[in-house]
Amino acid sequence: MNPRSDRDEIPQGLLDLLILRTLLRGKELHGFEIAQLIETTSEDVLQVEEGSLYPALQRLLIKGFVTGEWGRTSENRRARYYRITAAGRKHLRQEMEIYERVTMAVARVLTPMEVP
Amino acid sequence: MTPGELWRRFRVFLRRDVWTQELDEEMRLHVELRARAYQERGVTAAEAERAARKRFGNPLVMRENTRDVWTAQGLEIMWKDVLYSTRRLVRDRATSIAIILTLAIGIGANSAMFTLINSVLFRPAPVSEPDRLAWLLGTDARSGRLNKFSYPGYRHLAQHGDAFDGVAAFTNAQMSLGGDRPERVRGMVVSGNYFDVLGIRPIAGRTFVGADESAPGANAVAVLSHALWNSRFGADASIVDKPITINGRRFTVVGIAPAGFGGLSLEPVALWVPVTMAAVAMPDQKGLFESLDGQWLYAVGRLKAGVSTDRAGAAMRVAAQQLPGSSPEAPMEVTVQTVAGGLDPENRREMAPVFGLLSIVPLLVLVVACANVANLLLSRGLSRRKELALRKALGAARSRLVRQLLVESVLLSTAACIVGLLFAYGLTSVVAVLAEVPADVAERLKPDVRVLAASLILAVIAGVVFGVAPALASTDAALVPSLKDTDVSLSSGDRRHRLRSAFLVTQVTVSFVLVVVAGLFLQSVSKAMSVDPGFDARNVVVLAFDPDLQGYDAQGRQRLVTQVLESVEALPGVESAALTTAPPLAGLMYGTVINKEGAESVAEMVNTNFAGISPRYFDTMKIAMVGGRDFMPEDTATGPRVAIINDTLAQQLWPGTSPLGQRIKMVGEGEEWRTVVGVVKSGKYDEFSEDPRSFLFLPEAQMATGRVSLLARTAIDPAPMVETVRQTVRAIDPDMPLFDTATLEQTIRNAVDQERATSFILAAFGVLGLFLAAFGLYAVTAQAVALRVREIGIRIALGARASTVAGQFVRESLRLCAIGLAIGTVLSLAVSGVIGAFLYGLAPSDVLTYVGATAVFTGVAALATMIPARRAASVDPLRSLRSE
Repeated sequence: MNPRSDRDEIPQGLLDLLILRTLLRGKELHGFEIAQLIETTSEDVLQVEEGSLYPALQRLLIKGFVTGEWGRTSENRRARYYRITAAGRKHLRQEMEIYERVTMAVARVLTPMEVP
Repeated sequence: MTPGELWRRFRVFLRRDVWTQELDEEMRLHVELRARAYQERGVTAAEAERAARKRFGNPLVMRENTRDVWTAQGLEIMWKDVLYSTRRLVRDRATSIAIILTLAIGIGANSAMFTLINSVLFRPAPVSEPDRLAWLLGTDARSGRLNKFSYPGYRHLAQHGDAFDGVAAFTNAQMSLGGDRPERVRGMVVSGNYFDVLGIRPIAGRTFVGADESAPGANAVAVLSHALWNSRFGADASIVDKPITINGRRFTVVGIAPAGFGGLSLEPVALWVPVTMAAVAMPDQKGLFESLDGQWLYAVGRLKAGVSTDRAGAAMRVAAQQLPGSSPEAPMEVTVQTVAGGLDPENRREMAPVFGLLSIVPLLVLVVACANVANLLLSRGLSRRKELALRKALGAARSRLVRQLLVESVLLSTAACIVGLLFAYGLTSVVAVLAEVPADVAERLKPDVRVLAASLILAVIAGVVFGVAPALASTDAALVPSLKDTDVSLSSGDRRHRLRSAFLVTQVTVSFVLVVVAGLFLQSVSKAMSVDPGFDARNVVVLAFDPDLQGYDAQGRQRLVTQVLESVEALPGVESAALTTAPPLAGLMYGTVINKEGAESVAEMVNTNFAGISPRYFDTMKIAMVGGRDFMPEDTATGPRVAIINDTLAQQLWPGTSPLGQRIKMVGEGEEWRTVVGVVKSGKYDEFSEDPRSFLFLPEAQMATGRVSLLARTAIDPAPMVETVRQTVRAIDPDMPLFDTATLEQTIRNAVDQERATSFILAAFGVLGLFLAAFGLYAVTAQAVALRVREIGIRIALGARASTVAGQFVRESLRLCAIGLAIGTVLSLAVSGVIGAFLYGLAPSDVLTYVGATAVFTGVAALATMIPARRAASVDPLRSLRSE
């Protein structure tokens, strides 16, 4: 199965949120696992240009929302495992609230007016 | 950007290679894992790899994006600015060094002042957890005067000190340490919990405990300072539990205090004894320990964790009202204040405003230095206009150029800060050596972290302040045309020119104020010192001793002083000798209150100073008698009570009539009426600059308490006689420490050191200011000449006379200088009110000082502008025209 060539671009801020949300669920993951989880949970609707995950992870590291520790995979390969921090959780919570408010507002605008 | 983020960014920045490698490793792993996943679904290896790569995207782009993440906030740009600026500064070496040295003088002057003020007023006490150590200050509620506490008063405070883990009491006392080399040392009388409250652990033996404060006279134990233990006992730990002799009484050494601890004040203490031994330690203060009114103990408390000084003060309010010795007529308040600096509370209160005033002066020097540097930078900015214009034309934003110029300024000021600190460090060390400051005091006069921080902050502020105006002026909108120009014109309407003039005027103004202030103080001191003190200080040897501390009783004391006077007078070369309890102008003054007969109510009491003297004191000091007689050997302890007064006191008590035969009485127990038998001419007693002061002399034999100073008038140079006199007195009682041994002139010089030192510091700052202003004038004129070489060349080629051209530059600079002097004069007159109180013998608007300062300034300014102006006159027209 080939990946679609006309992938939808995911905005930067949203990618950060997806990563944080994934880490919240999966505790400690390396980059490939994060990519896999995002795809399976979104049922392949959201496909990332997988490399863009890495600048995003670095951004989160710098901001202190995740920590990265080098460890070994089950096949004994060296990999950096990411873990969400307290600051990351807080950031995710705040962003989710904003996200929900905005999507609800957008939905209200876009859905046709119901006749009372 | 949060500090944490900045820190993480910085860490990545430092190890960029490692981070890049790790990122590559991560990305490689990802592609491999993805390829494997494809393979597991039956795709060929080559195909799987291709698909995985495609799905991953371009790793180079990802790496580039990551790099942006790491450095997005301008850290990289900042670093580039720093590198670029450093290269520029190194290329313009001469200007950079001139700027750094100029600023270093400004910053170093401040660092030196910070160092002094820090040690005196701010440095935390040398104890554990110094922020929890606080003074308990007794304040007379009506006069606002600070009071110390009596022993019962201190006990009361300690019992009610719920806000404290402990409250300790102490006071200073000079003590006489016996042995082979009897020595007078600075000792301290302390409560049993003193070391506990301060948190000082001994390095050998023990410190005091509560049991060392059991009953008056019962606790003959002592703790030695590390310094005394070293100098006197060769750092031999076996001294612990051995006896030593203090004031003629045996004490047991129980422990040694750690190195570097000498009490809370700047002047280190050599040994400590329990407060219950006050009668031995301070034999001249009888009954002090039990007294309710005595005010002799400082109280210092260890605040409980988390308790503020305010809360502790509030908690003490009630206790203060019930303080023994406090009455409704004279209520006492107790305030709580964190211990900081190295002064006792009274001194601190007195000195803080003086230091506040002094600290302004180096700031003024810095202002001059900054204005100077701003001009240098501005000039350089002008000569760099082409470079800046080029960068702008190539697309650099103005903000970027300004930022880079600011980075340059901050780099310069940081470098100057380092040089300035070295300068300040050297200065304080040299001063410490010159002033013969003891090593442990000098140790505390060193700059610490606070001084470093304050200097650095000042440097960065200075860097930004002097950098902003030149940076903005050098990068203004008119930059691009200058690319086309072959020359930089300097029309007088030019904004940069005005800015430069403003800086120059500022320099002249501020440094003129500095010079005037310095001139006023120098004149004040020399005027004060040239005042006739009413006695002849030349050819007099002084030597002090304290019979009380040696355990002499009244008769023994009399025998001793008689013997001392007789043997010293018998020395060849000694004309006469006498004793006094308070030598004049030596920083020792005793005050008392007296009544004259017939006017004995409290309201008619008169304050005066007094001293006990031996016969022939007035002869020895060459003080003129106005009437009556000198004291005689017959005026003994048991003889009729007599007194001699000075003419100021005579005028005050009996205006118009003769005081001889009149009677006065000192207020106090056991005092009797004294007949005035003589009147002497008034002199100076405490300070050269004092107003005429009343003074009372008593026969030493009828006072017989405390220290005495021997004064021996020599026929020859007194310096070599000092040792002879010392040996003679030493032979009479080898156990008695002799101190303050010097010539009277030396003693007086030491006593007025503070005023002299202040004046010299001010003078030094004045000279620095003058020097900087002169340098500023020179640099500005030189730059003006350099920038207008072409114009000058043309004018000379067209027939202008060299002297006219040079004169024009001198005139321009002197015009600015004149404006600065005018503003400076107004400013000096405005601030003179503040310094008037410190001056003696001249008005703060002293015409001579202003005229002198103006003359000096004009001379220096003319010289500073003449040198570069002469270069203008010697411009070779052909050369200058060809140079472009």
